[in-house]
Amino acid sequence: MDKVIGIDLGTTNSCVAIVENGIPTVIPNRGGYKTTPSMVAVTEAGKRLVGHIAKRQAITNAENTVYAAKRLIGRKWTSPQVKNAVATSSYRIVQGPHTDVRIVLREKEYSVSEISAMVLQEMKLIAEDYLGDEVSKAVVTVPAYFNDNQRQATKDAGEIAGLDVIRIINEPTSAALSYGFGKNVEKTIAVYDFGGGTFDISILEIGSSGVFKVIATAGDTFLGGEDVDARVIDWLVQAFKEEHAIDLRQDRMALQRLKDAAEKAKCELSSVRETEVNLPFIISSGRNEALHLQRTIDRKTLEELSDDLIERTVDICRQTLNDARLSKEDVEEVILVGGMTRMPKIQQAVAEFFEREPCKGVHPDECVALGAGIQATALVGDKHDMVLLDVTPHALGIMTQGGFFEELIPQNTTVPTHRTKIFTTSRDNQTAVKIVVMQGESERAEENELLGEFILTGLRRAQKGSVEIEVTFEINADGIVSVHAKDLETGKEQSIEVTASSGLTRDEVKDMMEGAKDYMVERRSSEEFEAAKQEAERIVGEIERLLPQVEQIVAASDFGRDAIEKARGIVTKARSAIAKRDVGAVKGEIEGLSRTHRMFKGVVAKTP
Amino acid sequence: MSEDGETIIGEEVDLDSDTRNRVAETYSRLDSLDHYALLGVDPTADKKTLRRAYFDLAAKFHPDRYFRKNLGSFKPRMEIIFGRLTLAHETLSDIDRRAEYDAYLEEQRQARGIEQLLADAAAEAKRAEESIEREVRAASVDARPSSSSVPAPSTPGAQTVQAKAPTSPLPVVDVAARRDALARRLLGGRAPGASTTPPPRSSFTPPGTPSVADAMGALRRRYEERVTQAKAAQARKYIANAEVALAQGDTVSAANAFRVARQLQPGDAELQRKAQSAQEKADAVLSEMYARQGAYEEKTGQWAEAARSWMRVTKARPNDAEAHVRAADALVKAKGDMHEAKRLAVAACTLLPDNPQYRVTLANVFLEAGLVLNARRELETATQLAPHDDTIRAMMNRLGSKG
Repeated sequence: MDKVIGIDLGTTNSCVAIVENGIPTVIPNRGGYKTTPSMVAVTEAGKRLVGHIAKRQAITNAENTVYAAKRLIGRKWTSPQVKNAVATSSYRIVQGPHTDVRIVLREKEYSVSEISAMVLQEMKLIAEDYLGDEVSKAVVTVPAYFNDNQRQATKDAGEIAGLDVIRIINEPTSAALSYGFGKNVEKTIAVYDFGGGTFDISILEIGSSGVFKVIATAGDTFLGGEDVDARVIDWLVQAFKEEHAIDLRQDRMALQRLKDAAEKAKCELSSVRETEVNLPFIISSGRNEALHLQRTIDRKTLEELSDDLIERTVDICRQTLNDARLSKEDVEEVILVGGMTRMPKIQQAVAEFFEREPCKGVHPDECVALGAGIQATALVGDKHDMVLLDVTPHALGIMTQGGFFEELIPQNTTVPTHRTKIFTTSRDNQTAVKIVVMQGESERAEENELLGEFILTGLRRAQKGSVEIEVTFEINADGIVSVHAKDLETGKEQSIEVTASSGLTRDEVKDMMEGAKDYMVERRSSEEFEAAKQEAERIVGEIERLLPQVEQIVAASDFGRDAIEKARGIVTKARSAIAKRDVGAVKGEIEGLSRTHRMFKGVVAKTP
Repeated sequence: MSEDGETIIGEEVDLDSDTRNRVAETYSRLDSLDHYALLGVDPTADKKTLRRAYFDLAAKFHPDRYFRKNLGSFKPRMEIIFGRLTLAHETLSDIDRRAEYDAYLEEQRQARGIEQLLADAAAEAKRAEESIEREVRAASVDARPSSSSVPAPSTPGAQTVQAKAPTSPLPVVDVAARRDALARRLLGGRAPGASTTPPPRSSFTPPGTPSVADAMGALRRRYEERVTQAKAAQARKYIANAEVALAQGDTVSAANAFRVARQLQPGDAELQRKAQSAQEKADAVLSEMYARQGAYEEKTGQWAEAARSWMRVTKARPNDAEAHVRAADALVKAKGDMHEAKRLAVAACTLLPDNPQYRVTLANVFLEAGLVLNARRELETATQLAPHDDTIRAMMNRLGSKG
């Protein structure tokens, strides 16, 4: 059976896990670390660096080192969060062709999905090194409060990295799986997940039959450890400015050093009461003398600097309990996830709010990846002893006349689910309606996230309001949203599977996949396989070019349908052989492909 | 390999036959199961029991159990079953929603029980009548109608109506034994030849003989008299029972008993009046229940059910404008019978001509039926009644330059 891995793709660090002989295990990287920095860099020589190696050179290569790409994934160029990142990042962020976000490294533009793909690829390699075997499938985690665009962009990243992402699951849910795995308990738990870039809170029920049911989830995708770091940086920059009248933000290298130092100081203050930030030769003064930054920061100062951020997380907890229609007493266990929860002030705030000491039994950095590994095994394994019942973190609906948002599936609805509502035309003689699928909580459509749109045509010409369109939203167990619109009069139907607009078109994702494959090839491939692959892909391309024509010609006969079915089968097999990088299999398929190609050419040639 | 072009025929799915049967069976019964039956729990089940039941079933029906297996039409069916399980669990584990749902179920059960009782009352009256006639015919010349020989009237329930309580069954009468006794008396104390001997019938008497004809006439008169007496006696019993029920506030049982009595004594004007009044009271109780059901169904968006409930209310309350308009409104929303909706909305408007909202409902009915001109007329009336109502103005604007 194929090994399926679980990947926690974090804002600052990533982690990969697998279930081996029934035991969830985190896989260490070559350096022996269980987590890998989610950093990507390109050196002057054009060499790509990922992980610790990228982090180590970040200061000297600040402009070409990407960190916290997760904060940008699936976001529009126009969003305030992106604007904020553009202003504060040491690397260059530019607008892409679909109002998406691109990152420039050594003059080359990358989509955010591509950057994340590099991290995922690294995690895939770590697992493959450890297992000594190919890995092609993964469960990847995302913050619970991610919208569908962000989820889709993460899936795209997996695809670019050559991974079949069999499921995207929420980080706090994943942590709960790792907590409840093999425990056979019945409990209501809260997962407080304060990571590098995002904050999430989820309330779950764990049942004895291996069922994990999410009751409610909420969060803030722009509230994380990075924001605490930014407060410390501000504090240091301000003090430096007062002393030397120089703004350190003007210098990218200085800013990167500050960032490093601020994060380090923050982490240290979780175990010591005070620490020193010491950055010699941080910048030159106007008179060309070297200036140093040296300052002591104590725990209390850090707590004051981050006080309102912590308060915000507590507010979200309160709101979520309300949404779950539960009181604090109903929560029987609190789990802390994410590096930020090492901060004593946060542990204290959580304990105070829930009136209960948080559970010490889960590892805040590893439990998310472990949970992903557990879910991966539960899905593809033979033992079906665990089922995860998740909810939609955001409401789903469509835009109606006047720019309003009409909700069809409310927030925190257990999936799979489906809901139907009837709408009517809004103009006289309207023969088409545009179904604009959105996600969010605002009544104003424009304040919500656009997921996709399609048009239902051929409506009867009639007065407005008299033609009815039935709109059905469906979310299946895989979290895929499909929307159907049906003209109730004619029965005419139109539907889409909302793949969400990650800012990339399908073709672009495909191109990038190719690019990433090339990258993989650089690292480990044989010429023999390359040649076979190219040949196979050339013929597949030819077959696919002819397919619509052939289909039209022979579709009428049973024989024809059979033939097309067979051709498709051969193409699928060839593709999977290519994906598996199996030289022998690819070569084996070339014969069948050529035969199909010849037959197709014959059919087309014989038909005028 | 199936990719090799082997066509997949019908429903070849990766599920064992047990699972397939379980899914198909549960799916086909979904509509007839209430939340408790679906989860397989007791109506008194606590939150923990509910959760356990839900989790056990969710684990069985969640499509993830068969991840990336070929499930064909079983996948959407499993998803629908799962959705219903979730709805049941969510409704029952929320105190308020559960109380509401329970009240709704109880109303539904009671109303059904009452409907059944009323239907049974008619049947009981008929049975009582037939039984008396049969008895008397069998007895033929019995002078004293035995009180035990006729069915006892159904005793009115002392408390509230029981949901499934049918009217009490007719008492078993030992017809053969009594017939023997009568025969013995008729034959001057001699025992009958056989217990199976049929009672004397008129066709046995040779025709033509005047004395025989007289005797026959007398016999018939006596027979009819006896039937009338027996019926009157029986009716008195039902009336007595009805009065008791009425005194206890059990209007439904009272109405039933009066109804039977009235059937037995069709000429009694006083009885007619009482029966009528009791029936009205019973209808009032019933319509109260239907009104509550209708309100719940409106809330949960079961428009077809709501329309049915409100229409039942209007039957008992022909002067209740609100019930009529709500029935019409529910019919519009349920895309039901627009003729019926129009009749109801018109009735509401006739009852309360000055209510602008009723006009709006009527306008909606017309719009639904594609009668824009009529809709406009109603909206114009509504505008006159409520010149500053934004909703009405918006509707008018939406109709715009039409018509």
